[in-house]
Amino acid sequence: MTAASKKPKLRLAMDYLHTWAGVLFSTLVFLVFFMGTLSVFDREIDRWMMPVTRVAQPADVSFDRAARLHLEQLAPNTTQWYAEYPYDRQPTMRIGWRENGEFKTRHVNASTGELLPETGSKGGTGFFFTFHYSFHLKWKDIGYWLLAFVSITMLVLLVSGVIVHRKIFADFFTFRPGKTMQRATLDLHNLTSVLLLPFHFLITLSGVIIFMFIYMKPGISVIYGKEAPKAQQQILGQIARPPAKKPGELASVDAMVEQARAAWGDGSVRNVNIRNPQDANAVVDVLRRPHDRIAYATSTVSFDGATGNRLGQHAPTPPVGLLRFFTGLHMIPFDHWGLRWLYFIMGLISCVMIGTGLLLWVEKRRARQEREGRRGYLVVNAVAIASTLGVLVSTLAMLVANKLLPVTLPERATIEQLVFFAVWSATLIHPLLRAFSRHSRSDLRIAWREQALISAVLAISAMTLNALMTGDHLIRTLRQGDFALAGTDLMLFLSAVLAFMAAKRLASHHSSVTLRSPAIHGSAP
Amino acid sequence: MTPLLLTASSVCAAWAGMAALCFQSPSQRHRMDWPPLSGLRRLGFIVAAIMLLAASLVAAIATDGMPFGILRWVCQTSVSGVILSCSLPYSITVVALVSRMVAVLVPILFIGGYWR
Repeated sequence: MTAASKKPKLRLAMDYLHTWAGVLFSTLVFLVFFMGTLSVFDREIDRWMMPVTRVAQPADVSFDRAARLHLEQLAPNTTQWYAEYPYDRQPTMRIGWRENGEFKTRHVNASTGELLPETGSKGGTGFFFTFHYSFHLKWKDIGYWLLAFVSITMLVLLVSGVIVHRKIFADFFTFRPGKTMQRATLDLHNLTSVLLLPFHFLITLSGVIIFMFIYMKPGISVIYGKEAPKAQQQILGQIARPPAKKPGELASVDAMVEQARAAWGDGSVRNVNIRNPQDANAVVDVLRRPHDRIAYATSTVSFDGATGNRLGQHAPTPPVGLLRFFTGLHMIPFDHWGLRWLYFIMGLISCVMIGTGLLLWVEKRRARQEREGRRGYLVVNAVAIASTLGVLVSTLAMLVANKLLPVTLPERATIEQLVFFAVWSATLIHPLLRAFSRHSRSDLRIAWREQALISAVLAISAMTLNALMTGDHLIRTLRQGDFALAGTDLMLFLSAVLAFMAAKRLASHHSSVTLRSPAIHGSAP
Repeated sequence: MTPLLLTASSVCAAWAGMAALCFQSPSQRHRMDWPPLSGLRRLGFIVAAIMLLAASLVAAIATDGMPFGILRWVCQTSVSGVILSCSLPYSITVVALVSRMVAVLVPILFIGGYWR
């Protein structure tokens, strides 16, 4: 009887499911977790990537002084205006409007009312965060559906992993880096999975729940038919008001904001949405910032835009409140730096979990496939490099491009993103070339090492270029207490140190695997 | 109440609790070349771990309120476990010493944080 047939059938089936779901979907799962980890500090990355937004925090904020004139000039005929108020993580006021089906944004210095120049970059909020929840795939919401599929797969991986792991409590703290590569990798994979199990379940489940209204769209269409667009409004308790199709003058939004603040008792404004701003039936929604609770429950006060009279106040109903609670658990809208850093660290540990899982698959099959002259493990190893280190390399390359590309370059933001995808493709081609070269090692150690070194160089370059191009070097930002910039530079430095240490370890570690068999390349040299 | 001291107390208690759970494990003690524990002593470690983790939770709730406190406790306990497990193979003596020191600090920081 073989070892496999001795295993209970359920564990065998879960082992198979865990292995193959893992190897097939690990690239996408890693992308979601890596981009999500960066998104924890997306506003801080915005400051780093968009130097024009490095302004002082305003003492007070006025929509009428800072945003209204610019919106009237930039978007006079739109159906929606939007203004996100400054707060400690974002010192600028971000104004937005709908144009040709797309949402456009600009930044305003709320202290002076100055419209800041185009940033020329998507930054953390526009690139990394969007990548995290939609892979930048917009056609027919396909990105959201792909995310749902990846999230369900992640839940399957978690449950199957728990079932497969026989000695889950005995191995709770087991880590043996001195053992073979396969053993050490398995230990690290188990350790990072089991100790962070509550976080993994929480973050994955809440991620699916957040986009409930997108996944329910087909069902809503069946029930509501042509009234489907109103369904979400009804569920969320928004005040519906069709446009009058007559021009109207918007009353003082600042006065409405003051009324909203009085209605809340305490708290600050997150954003102001104005529907049909130049219409007689304009509606102004003032949303409270949910800084003091877990739930992403933005209490909203709505006003008649023309008169400034209050139309109503709505807080979420219990079912929506539950949705908002899960949203808050996932997106950290609250002010708690300790939790924000803990989420960041746990995100990085999750990336280690996914990467080690992929490596484990490769290591387990390398010796057997080498003997049989098969190449599948080489391709998976190359994909593992591109999926893990490659994503880091392309992110750092994008940060370097952010500093090197001229500010006046047309379509600068698009070119920045193209740099990311071009470098990412190169990080796949590189290990494939190494894999099928005559003198390569079967474990592609050299490819791992080279990409680790490249990432170290890119990280230091990004930090240095930021200091040279903007003058905001680490000592200055620490002295000024600008922790958004200082923190980003410190993380870049730390990643460079870790990457360099990893490269050194890869160079000095003596592998027990022999050079690749002549059976793969044909005759021996 | 001094939030900083209570937070420090909570973090120290989480680390010490995870260390106690780790050091009671027979397989872990074997890997560290430590003598095995008798049944009663092992039970003592487990009870100590539970009490330290409970103290960590109480301190977290005292600082941040119920929802944030529970969330922070879950996160910091998990991260403490990972850091502890990853650092143990590289220096058992240092990790064991640090764990003992933070266990002693827990009540001092808690009392200091609560009554100041």
